[in-house]
Amino acid sequence: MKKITEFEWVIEKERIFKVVGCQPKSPVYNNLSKMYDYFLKNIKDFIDPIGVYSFIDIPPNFEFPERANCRKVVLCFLTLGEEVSLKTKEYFAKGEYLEALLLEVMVDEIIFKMSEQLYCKAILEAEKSGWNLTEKIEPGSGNVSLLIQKEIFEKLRLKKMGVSLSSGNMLMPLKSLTFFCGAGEKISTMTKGHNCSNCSMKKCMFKDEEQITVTVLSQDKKSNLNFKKGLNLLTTLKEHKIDIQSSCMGNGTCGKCKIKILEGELKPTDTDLRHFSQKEIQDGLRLACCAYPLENCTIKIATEQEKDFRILDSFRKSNGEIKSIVEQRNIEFENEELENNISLVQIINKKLGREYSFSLNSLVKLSRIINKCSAYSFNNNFYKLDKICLIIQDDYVLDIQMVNERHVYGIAVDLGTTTIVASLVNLLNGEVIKSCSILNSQRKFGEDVISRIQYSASGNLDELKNVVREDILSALAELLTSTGVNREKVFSMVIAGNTTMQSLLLGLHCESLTAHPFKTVTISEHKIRFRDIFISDILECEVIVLSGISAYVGADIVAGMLYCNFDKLNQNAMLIDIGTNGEIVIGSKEKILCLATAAGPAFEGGNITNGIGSVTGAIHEVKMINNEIRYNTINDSAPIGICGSGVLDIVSTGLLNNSIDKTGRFSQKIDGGVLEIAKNASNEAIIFTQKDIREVQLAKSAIRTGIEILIKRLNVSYDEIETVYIAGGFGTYMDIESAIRIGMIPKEFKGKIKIVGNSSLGGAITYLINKKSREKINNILEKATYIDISSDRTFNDLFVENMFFLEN
Amino acid sequence: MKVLNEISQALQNGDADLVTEKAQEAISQGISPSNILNDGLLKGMSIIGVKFKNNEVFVPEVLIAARAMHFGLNILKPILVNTGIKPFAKVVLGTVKGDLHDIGKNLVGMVMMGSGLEVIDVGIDVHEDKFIEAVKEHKPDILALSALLSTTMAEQKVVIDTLIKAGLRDTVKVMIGGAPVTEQYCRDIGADAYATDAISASEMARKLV
Repeated sequence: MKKITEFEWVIEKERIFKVVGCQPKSPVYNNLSKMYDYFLKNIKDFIDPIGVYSFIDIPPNFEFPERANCRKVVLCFLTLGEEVSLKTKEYFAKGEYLEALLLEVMVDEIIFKMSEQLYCKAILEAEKSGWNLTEKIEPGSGNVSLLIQKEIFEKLRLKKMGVSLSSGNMLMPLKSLTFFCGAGEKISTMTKGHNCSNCSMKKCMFKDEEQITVTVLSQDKKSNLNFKKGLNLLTTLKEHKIDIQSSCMGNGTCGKCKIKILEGELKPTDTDLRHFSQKEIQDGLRLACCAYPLENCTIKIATEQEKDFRILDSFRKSNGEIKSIVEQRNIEFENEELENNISLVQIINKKLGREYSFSLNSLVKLSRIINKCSAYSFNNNFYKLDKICLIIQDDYVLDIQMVNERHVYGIAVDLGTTTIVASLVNLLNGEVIKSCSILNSQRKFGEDVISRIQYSASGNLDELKNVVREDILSALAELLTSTGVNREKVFSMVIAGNTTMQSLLLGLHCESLTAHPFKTVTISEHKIRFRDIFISDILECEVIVLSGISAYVGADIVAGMLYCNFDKLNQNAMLIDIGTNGEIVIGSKEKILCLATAAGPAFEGGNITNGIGSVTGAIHEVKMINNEIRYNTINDSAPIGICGSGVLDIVSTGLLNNSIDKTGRFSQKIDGGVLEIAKNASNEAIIFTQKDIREVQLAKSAIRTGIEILIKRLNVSYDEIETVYIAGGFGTYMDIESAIRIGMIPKEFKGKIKIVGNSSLGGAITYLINKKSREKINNILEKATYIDISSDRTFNDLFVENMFFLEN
Repeated sequence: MKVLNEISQALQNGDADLVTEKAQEAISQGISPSNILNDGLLKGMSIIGVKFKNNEVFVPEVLIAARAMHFGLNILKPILVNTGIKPFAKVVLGTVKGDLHDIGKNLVGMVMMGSGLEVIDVGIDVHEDKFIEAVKEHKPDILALSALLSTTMAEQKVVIDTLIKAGLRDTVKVMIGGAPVTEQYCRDIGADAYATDAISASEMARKLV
């Protein structure tokens, strides 16, 4: 069951006035207009919309057209809460009839429009299973019995939500409704939402069958969409297979589904006002997910297509010895050993002085050594071979190879929330043969781990699990086909990801990670057969999922510590990985402290007015030269937005030339609190706003506060920290001077910073090529303590203090 | 009389304050309360009613007139009670079981009140037994049943049948209304009257008693 509390307040004054029966020439008109404005301003205070829907198997007594084409039905419920009815009652009781009537009509319109929105959300959900929805079927209307309402009431457990049902099967609160729709891939109904022409309310004043035409310009293509007014634009665009990005699935949070209105009117919604500046609103920018067009209009898809995401797949190469977790042992057979009646396995075990178990594949190969018949088979070069090479992991013989064959590979995976990087590693010499980077397809269900978990919790765990498995499989396929490496020669795979990503990959329920006490199912290392995780036989090896420390300091950070050799450090060091969560580690081989601090997505371009990920065309460097803004973009393309390192530079240069003061306010000379950074290819301004500075202040303070708390808890001074390792994509590309100027990183760290790149991947590779890694990780975990930053009493004070840009 | 005309006019304009003022003025001039009611307030209301039927004014105008009427009645009430004049009739009004429609019923209620009827509103989604209880308790002259859905209009018949079973059918006139209801349906289920809108409902109610 899915719960929705975010709705757009779509309301048409003319329609309301038409229903009330008030015309512009009426003497009451002005009076009513004033009331209307008053209600419009205040109505949100006493309406508390909650919608729920749930896809279930079709109950036997649900009869409706197209039932035969449906796999499921979706039951929907919407309420505006109790208070609004009390309000109208109050007006009626006071004799304020007109107010009461107007309010009543407005509320009816609002609940209707919201029910259409709820329907559109259900469509988006159905779409994920490749299903279409029938039109809305409303109990008590037409042939549909009111008893269905009772059934929906029970099936959705509305009682638990404080809803009640009268003997006449009516819902309390009064302003509530239910409906259902059939769902399936074969549904052919073209009408969407409520179908006025089928409605039994023949004299309904709201009756409205008006179709509108929205003309859409998208990548030089022009299409005309005809649909019922008041339906959701994003849903309609998707239905007509028009490409538009939306990573939050129409929740109004990601801000990706931008459209620009060229002709006609589309009133900005609250969500628009949150996402766009006043100027952008004036320029016609809107989000498709919260747009419900009421008149003919022409729009342009304004999302920048994200291409060539810059993913960090490099890491500083370590010079550690190569003693991979997969070993090779050469065996030489004496002539008589091949002639006597002692089994080959016994001979090998005796030679190596240990009882090994053998893979089936290795036994088959051994059989070829002493059986001539195999000489006629395709692979005959093992016959009478007196020198072989055993490929061994722990006490298990994985494979038998010829001595000069030397094909032993492993795969290391950094499983990130945004990106996934897989590397093919030669386990004999530690060489990284090739890396492959892709975006995590789970992104379309939410950018951060919390929204993924929430999505998984509403019955979509399998879907999240499946898409990320597909991602990793496709990266694997790419690595193997482009290098020509035989998949049978891949003997090990190691995965390092944050706790949530690992849980979702394994298909573990993980709602418990989102709330205190943030309990995990496991933070231990697990060895799982490849086919059990990936439902695929591409590889036959086992997959090692690395161990973490807590719900928010996961295996990716532990891998980073391994990579930075925290278990061997004589002097204290720090490891800082800046992402939506900033994970910070301090310590040495004696003692390690770590924490996670909620930095927010600002440094990944999120929540920034014109922010964007590290893609081609992102402004990633900004400098002030002679009071003029100079910028560089990724791959030197025309600018399309600002990525994290660009955001950092803008604030830094603003502080340098005093256009931002130490409290974070733009100075007077910045016109209207908006700084224009560049113009994009269509000559539209790419801007940086006051609000963006605030986002940066939150992010940088979270990081800085984390650093300070760790230093205090370990009771060391800045001088006692020898090295500061900076990991992650943002950290790698950011300008350290800028980071120090805005106070994210203390100036005392200058000269101590080492950029380590993707330390999670580095750690996973290290694990593959260094047999001692498991022991090293155990040593690290033994010394490591997780600090819950929210329970640190100094956190709040420090956090507020660090928001300012004090001289650093 | 000038002041009664002024009351009627103010009421048609929905000017509640002026209605109050003029009603007091009329009382101080010694005009009888029933006179003020009939030739001032109700006259204005009936003009609004005619205009409404002719589509000259619409629901909002009726509503603000009804509100002004209410103000006027508040002035007259204490005197009407003192002089022993009773309301024309008592009406129990409600929307039947399975139906949440409120506006239409409220409109009828307020216009009836504005016409000097005493209205007891028992609400929406009203079970037939609750209607019976209300009839027993309030002993109304009229029971008015609203139903806005084709699926709930049958409930109007259920209420009438229950009245018959309870032996109360003869004590009360039954009026029905609502979008799907017709004159024919009214006769079929044995109701006494049917009205198409709030104004006619109010007029019909006064005719029934």
